[in-house]
Order: sequence, then structure tokens, then C-alpha cells
Amino acid sequence: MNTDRIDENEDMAPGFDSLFNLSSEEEEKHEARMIMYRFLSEMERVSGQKRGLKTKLAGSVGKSKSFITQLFNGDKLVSLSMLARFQKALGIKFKITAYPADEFDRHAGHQPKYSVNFFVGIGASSSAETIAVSTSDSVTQVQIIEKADPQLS
Amino acid sequence: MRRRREHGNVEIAVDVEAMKEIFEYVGQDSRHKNKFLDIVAIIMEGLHNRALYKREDISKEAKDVTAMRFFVGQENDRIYCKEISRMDAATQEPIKIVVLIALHLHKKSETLSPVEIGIINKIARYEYGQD
Repeated sequence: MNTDRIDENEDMAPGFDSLFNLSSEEEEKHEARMIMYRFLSEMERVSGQKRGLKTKLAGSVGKSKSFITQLFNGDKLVSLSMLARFQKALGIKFKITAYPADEFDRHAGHQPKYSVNFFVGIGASSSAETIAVSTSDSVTQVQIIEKADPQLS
Repeated sequence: MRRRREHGNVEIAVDVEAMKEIFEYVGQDSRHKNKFLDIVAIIMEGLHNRALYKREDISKEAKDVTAMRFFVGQENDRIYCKEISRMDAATQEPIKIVVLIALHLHKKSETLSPVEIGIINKIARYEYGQD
């Protein structure tokens, strides 16, 4: 175990763990945006358009492209009446499926909260080291990997 | 840094050379932190949202280069990434790893400038090995 490496990496990322510590208010807002993103993702998927979706939606629902952009950016939350307008504009119907929260990972692939691992790429070594640190919520791993061509680093 | 999903096939990683810069960027305030967590969650869940995460496949070589897009139309910052894969030893299932590689602040125009094309082409040549 190379503890120097752990210390070095911890120094390089001060406070990183705290990124994933959300207050209940932040978590509620994040979850609200995720619900919206799931609707918008389906709209983007079924539309098959790489470009022009926002312009099409804006024209169809009588809103500015800027408004639509703010929804996709997560800067505004969509309303149910706006989702109804989007359905009509795209000729689709949303079908909702709910799962018990503890089964959502399996069905929708959501990352368990606070399960944070460190993945470190360096150019000098060809070997990989894995250092596992158990916490109450997860297992933290530090891995040393390399770029195949150090000249590219 | 790698975030992994208990039942999924996507992980998030950060290249050590950009780690400090990227962590300082996303952790500078709650606005950046919340945007970062949204984008990570979108990637982990496999959602489509080109406003926040899109492929920068400007060439065949760069087909695996992507961008996390922060505050489009405002600061217009990017974290350029590369999608790689590995085989999970336990499940023998392929795991997609999104490696965060380069922070690029204040993208100036909607189209890619020579600077951004340079970053994308450089990242396209990166390869990561893992035992």
C-alpha cells in the first residue's frame, strides 16, 4: 500500500468528498431537476434530432428558444402543462414507471450517493495499484493508471 | 477519481494531471457544484442532454471525446472528457469510463475554435491503461 500516494491525492483534491454532501434542500432541488432531465432526455431521444430540437419546441409551444435552453440547462424547472405542450409538439406520450428507491439503481442505473472512488492516471508507471479504504457508506479506491503514451501527457 | 454505480456500467474518472484544477473549479461554489452533480448524474443514468453533455466527434479519431458543458450562454465553460471502456472482472460486463481530462474556461463562440479543436484532437490521442 502506498500511503504517500493517498496523502498526495488527498492534498490534490481538498474537500472533494464534500461535493457530494448535499443539504436536504439541495438534494430536493437536484432530484427535481433529475426528474425534469428524464422527461427532456426522452424528448431528445425520440426526436432523433442532433440540432434544432429547441428551436422546434420553442416555435411549437410559443416560447423563446432561450426559455427551452434554460430547461435543458436545468436553470428552470418544467411545468406539467409545459410537458403536455411538449407531448403535443412532438406527437408523443410520456409513460411513467416508478420503482422502490432502493431498486432504482438496478433499473435506471443511478449512482448510489456518496460512493466515491479515486481514479488517478500518471504517465510514469506501467503498473496499477489499488488501495481500498472502507467508509460507512462506500468503498474508496485509489488507482494508479497510466497513459499508454507518456509523450501525450 | 472514479464514481461507480452498484448495478450499472458507467464510471466517472478524472485524469490526475487535471484533477486539482477540475476539483477546484467544480467545488468553487454551490452553483458549479450543483451543475457538476447534475451532469455526473445524467451521465451515470445514461440520459440524453446535449445541452449539458455532448459528444465532440469532430473526426473519426475523436469519436470518444465528449464535453461537460457548464453555463452555456454565460461563462460557457467546458470539461473535455474521453469515454473509454474496461471489462468488469467480476461480472465480465463492459464498463464505460468517462475520464475528465481538460478544463477549458470561457469558450468564446458556438463553433469550435482552433484552441478547442486542438484540445479535442490531443485528448483523442490519449490512451489509458489499467491492470
